[in-house]
Amino acid sequence: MPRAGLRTPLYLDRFTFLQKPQVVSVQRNVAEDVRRARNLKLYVDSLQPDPSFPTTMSKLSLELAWRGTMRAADIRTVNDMIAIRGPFDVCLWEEITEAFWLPAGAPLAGTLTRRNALTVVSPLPGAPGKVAAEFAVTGARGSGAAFTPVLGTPDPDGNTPWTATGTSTGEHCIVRYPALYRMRVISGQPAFENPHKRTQTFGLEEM
Amino acid sequence: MAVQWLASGTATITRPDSALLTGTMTIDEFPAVYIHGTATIDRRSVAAWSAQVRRTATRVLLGEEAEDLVSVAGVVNVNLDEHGLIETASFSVTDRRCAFFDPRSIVVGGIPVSIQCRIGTDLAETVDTVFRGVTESAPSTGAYVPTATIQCAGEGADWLTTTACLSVPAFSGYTRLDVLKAFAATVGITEDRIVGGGEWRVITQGLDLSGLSPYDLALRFAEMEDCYLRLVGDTLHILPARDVVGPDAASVYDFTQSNVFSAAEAPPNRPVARLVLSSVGIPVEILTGGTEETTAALSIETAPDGTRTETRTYTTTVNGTLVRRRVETWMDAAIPGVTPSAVAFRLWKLVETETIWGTVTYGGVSLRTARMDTERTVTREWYSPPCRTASGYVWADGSRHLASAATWQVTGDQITTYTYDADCVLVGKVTNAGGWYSERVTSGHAYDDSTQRADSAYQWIAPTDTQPYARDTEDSSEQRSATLAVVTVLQRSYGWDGKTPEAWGQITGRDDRWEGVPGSGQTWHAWTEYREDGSRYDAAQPESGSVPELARASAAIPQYRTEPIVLEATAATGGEAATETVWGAEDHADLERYARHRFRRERSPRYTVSTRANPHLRQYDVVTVTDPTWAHDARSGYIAGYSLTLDVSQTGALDADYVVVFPLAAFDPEAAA
Repeated sequence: MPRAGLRTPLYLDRFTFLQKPQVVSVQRNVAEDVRRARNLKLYVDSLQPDPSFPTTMSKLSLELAWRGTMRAADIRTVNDMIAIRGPFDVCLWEEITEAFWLPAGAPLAGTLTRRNALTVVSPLPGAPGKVAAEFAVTGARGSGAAFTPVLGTPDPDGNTPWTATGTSTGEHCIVRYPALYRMRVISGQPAFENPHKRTQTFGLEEM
Repeated sequence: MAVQWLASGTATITRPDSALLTGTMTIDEFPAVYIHGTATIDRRSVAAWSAQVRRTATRVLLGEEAEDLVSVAGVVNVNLDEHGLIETASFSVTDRRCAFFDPRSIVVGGIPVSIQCRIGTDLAETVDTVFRGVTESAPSTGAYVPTATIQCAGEGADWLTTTACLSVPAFSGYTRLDVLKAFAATVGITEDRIVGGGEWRVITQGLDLSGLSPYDLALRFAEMEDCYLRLVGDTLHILPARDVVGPDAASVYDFTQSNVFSAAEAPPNRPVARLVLSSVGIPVEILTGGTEETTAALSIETAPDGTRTETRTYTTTVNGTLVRRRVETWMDAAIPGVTPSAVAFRLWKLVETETIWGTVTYGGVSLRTARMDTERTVTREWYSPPCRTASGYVWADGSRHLASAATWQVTGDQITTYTYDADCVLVGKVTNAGGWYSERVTSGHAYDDSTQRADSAYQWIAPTDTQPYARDTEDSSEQRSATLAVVTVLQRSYGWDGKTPEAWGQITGRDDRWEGVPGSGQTWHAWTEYREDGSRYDAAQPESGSVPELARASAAIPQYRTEPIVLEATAATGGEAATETVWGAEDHADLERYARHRFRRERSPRYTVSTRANPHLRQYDVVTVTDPTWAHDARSGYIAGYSLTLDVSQTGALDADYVVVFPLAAFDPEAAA
């Protein structure tokens, strides 16, 4: 069971920072349209490019901020990333959940919209086995019963098929996993409060 | 659920036994419905599109191999204008193939395209094609990768082809639907692509159709029949107005406060209130057979001695076609004889002519064609046949007759019979005449004029005898091709030759032949005359002009005339006036239906509702609207046009604007017969 907060250092592809960003702002942009009819009844359309995809699709936006004085090596790293722009593999080391509607009789299967960080990031941070245990991929059926998703090979876009034993009874099945996002830099604003101090905000969006 | 989809007739409701059908979805009403032909309604699809929460995906499939154009971004629009027939679609795509010179360019036009929407809900899932057509050529912009907004024309664009042509003779017996099918066939539209129109009327007038598209023709007919047209796929559906408007029109969808995001109303702007419609039609009396009408003419001639000769001519016609003529000649005269009667004003001569025309039955009524079959003229006079010297009486004028005084009897009988070939050309004309005569012989009965005749008195030789008193024949033929036209006319006169002994045979004759190259303006005319004295005269000469036309008359087309028909239609309010010629209208009933259709279209308000897209709603589907803002309490209307906005890449929203027309009850269609 993951703990609250971002206790494991961010994974930012091959880049590392000596000083972690003080603020990590996370925004998930859900691909949906919500409108109310004139009697206030709510109607929802949500984008689901493929029926095997989660019932709610979203893309991640990140903003990293260094409020204090940045170290020279980190400034150079930020500048390198801004210049390269991406794509970068990014992992927050937080568990995300994707939900799938499976009609009755359908096999337990679907497509995760990101890769499993545990199988890509190497070496895993922290003590051996600690992250793998904390962010193990798990699944739960509509009844609450747990199942073990088996993840397949991601496609070039990072979509990762999963399967599990059993068939649906017409239920939502959820899969929890540590997502590895494919992101690009969209902003990087330094600020100089005095000649000897630099702060930095650094934005990335999921591709 | 709000949707009350209706089906009847030959429609088929499919209900696959799928787990997706479990749940609370119901379709509980099936009143009269207007799906013409064979249609299928997939209730899974209906349920999915009308769900409160929808998971959506819109795809643009391009080319023969239906490539999923994943680079389409933003929204895809699918539109059908109120007065349009063909759907249009547009989408923006950023792709290197948006360059004209790219080997796989997608902006050159003519590429098949379809737009599919997948709707998933917890209860149902469907994939529906909401548009199918071809791309138009599209301009593109962009610094490094071109972006084009590609416009597409929907299926059925061949309905707008203007190269169709057709000529239909009058009284062909075709219905307007037959004509439309034949006209459409000239541009390759098969008749199975026309559904409905079975109630359209039989036309009487001839039509020479060109320069308009099959849709133009269908629309003209539809307005006069008070029908609406829509395309389903590439098939034209003809919907009677009573299926779309009025009390018999059944609603298939309810727009209410619970499924409408916003709405707007547009009242008619200065709609026409007075329509003066005109056309040219065949009078009703022509089509009902008409009645006999007799007209009289009178002429009086007075000789210097005061003798009056009065000619009374009675001409009987039916719908302008001569069927009978009676010419009475009245004179101040004495009945001749040995002792003539007293002079009195009496009927002196009567000539009656009866014309028998070919007939054709049209609409259960026998009508005369322009093809004359026979014409018979019978003449009656005061008469007594001449006789031999040894018999009879010598009248006061010195002539010898069988009776002492003339009696009223037939003195002439002439029957003309006409023959036509399969091409309706008049190829034969035979006139047999009856008369009083006695054949001259070498030795027989001596007459006062020194002739010897076979009989003691002149006999009546009937026109129906094998050898009538006289016979005139005329045989014609023609050959026409692009390079040569030849017409021949052979005329012969038969009778008694006046010799002793006398023989019945050809007396005179004439052969004519015209020959020329069509369009040359020059003709050779050759002829031969066979004279009574046995001599013959041959001649030939060039003539300017073209080879003469032989008379033609159809056995299937009745004689008819046309006359202007005018209808002034007025709406209750307003001052706008319009004058229109309604092409193809047959009678006032057509003009009335046209006026009703026109008033309904122009004087009814439009209500545009913004709601969620639902491709099951089509043009001329009947809907009800409940909206207190505009005082609609389950008010019935029909969908005139729509615009679907399908978000492909941002939110998945599938929205639509539907234009609903609320037909005013004053212009409801006439009740079904």
